[in-house]
Amino acid sequence: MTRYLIRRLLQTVPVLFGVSLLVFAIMHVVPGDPVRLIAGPDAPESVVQRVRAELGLERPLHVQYLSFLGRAVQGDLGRSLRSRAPVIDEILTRFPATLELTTVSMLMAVAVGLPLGLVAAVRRSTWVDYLSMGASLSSLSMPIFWVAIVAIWLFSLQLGWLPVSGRAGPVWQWEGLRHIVLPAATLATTSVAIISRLTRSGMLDVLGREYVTTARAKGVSPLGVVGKHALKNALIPVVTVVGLQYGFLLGGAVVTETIFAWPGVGRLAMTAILQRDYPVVQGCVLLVAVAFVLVNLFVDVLYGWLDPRIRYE
Amino acid sequence: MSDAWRRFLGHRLAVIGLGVIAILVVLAVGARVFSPHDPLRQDLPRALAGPSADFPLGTDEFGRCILSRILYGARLSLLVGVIATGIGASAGILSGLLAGYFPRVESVVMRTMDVLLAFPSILLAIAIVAALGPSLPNVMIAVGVRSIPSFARLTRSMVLGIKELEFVQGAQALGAGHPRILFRHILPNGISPLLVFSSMQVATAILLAAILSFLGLGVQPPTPEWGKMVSDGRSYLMEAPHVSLFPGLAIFVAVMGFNCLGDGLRDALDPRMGRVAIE
Repeated sequence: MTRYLIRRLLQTVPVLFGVSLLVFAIMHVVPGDPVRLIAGPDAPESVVQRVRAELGLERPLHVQYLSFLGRAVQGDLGRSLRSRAPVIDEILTRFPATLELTTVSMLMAVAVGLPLGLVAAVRRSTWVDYLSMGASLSSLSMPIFWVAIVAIWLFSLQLGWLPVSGRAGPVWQWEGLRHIVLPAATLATTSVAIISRLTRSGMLDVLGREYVTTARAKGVSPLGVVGKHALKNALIPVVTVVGLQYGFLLGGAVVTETIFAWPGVGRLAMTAILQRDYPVVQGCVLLVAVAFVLVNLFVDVLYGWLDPRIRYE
Repeated sequence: MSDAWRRFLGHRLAVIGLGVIAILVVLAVGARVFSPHDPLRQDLPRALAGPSADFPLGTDEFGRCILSRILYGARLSLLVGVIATGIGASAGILSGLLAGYFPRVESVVMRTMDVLLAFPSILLAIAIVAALGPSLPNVMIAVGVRSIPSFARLTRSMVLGIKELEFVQGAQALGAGHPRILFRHILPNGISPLLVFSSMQVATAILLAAILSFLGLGVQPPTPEWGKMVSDGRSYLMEAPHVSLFPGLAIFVAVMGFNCLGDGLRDALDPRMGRVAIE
């Protein structure tokens, strides 16, 4: 097990390396001079030269990349071109907001999606099944920004129940909770759909197996069959998707955070891309990739616990 | 094939999906005929008017007819969806074929795909468009690139399953070259899951392109584009919610159409295949 973990961790190194190379490349073909951004459009040439030298931008690209990589390994991601604050601080101050939004949203998605998929599978080909699968296919088809806007229109502007945007403290305080409901629910729509569909197909698969028929024949109650025998095995694909979704969302839900003015990593990344603040972009993308890779690893380990048939060589 | 066709027709959702897409294509192609107004003509005194006989879906902040703009916008969305998927599919299927067939290139190709997959798709698309500049072709590229790894993975696993089969070995024994084996023997036999996936990818591509436009990174005004229309309507949510509502509904209908079609194709072509979850 330990050897498996170490091997998997080592495998992530080239991926992270590639990610850093790709993001570095993308941000350096961007038209528009970041130096002008700092010095101002009317700055004299001498100032521009000095800023360029300060940032090390006059060096060849591969030297810049290697020095970026060298410092990144030590946790130094450079400074934001805009705020001049260290990138790592910029990210860390926003990470709690993103973590909170992602966690609440995934909890909502599982709380709604899992029972929905279960009921649809157990009551297969009834109106319950059609209704819940129709709902999940619909929510997969809705643009998330539109869901957000309709939700704001209905719950904030028309009914006045919830605030339009922003974050007001942690989720365990009343105002914080009121502010997180809309963005988290919006973010959860896609996940609910995916989770319910996977739960349904997983359950249908498992319910047709012989050991379930055996359990039924033994006289195990329908609830016992579903809860004790079928659910755990049906959940394996669901766990993967929940993990992957969580990993993705940890990098910040760009659209949702932008619409709801949620002060998280996604909004930071979005603004940084538009402002060509490439140290911040690099930092955010690296963070996302690391989160994604780690969550993937965690999911694989969880597999072994859920399904003892899976062995790690 | 006729068996597959019958299964497809038996799938009510799929037929509805195909119907919706057909209607959308007709509306998009004939936008000039079906539009009650010029999509660009401004009529400021009648700005933000609700639905009426003259303007069936109301007007936007410049008094432009929302229905006409949605009809013209259908052209863009369908085009972006199909072309972006085409870009992703051709690059992805090619890399998947190579990776599955030639063990020596496999690790290079698949690790590259891992790198692409480790990026959140929206951030990747935003970064590409920001780097290349906001325009229609760049949106297609950005949206297409993000589907390459999924196509590559799907194709590779398909190749791995087929290449050991007897008919492939037979073709090899007869002296068929690698390209012939890949494109004449392996690809046609593994095309069904790729077709299903493509249909669902068009849906995702339309959504992602709409997101880019919504963020101001897509087609530039005054060209009518659904995502941009939703975004423009945001400022008038209080007095005229229909400005955002209707274009969003249009996106929903188009995406739903392709999703239903994908579901139906899957049941018809490959009843065992599960839906590939992305995002």
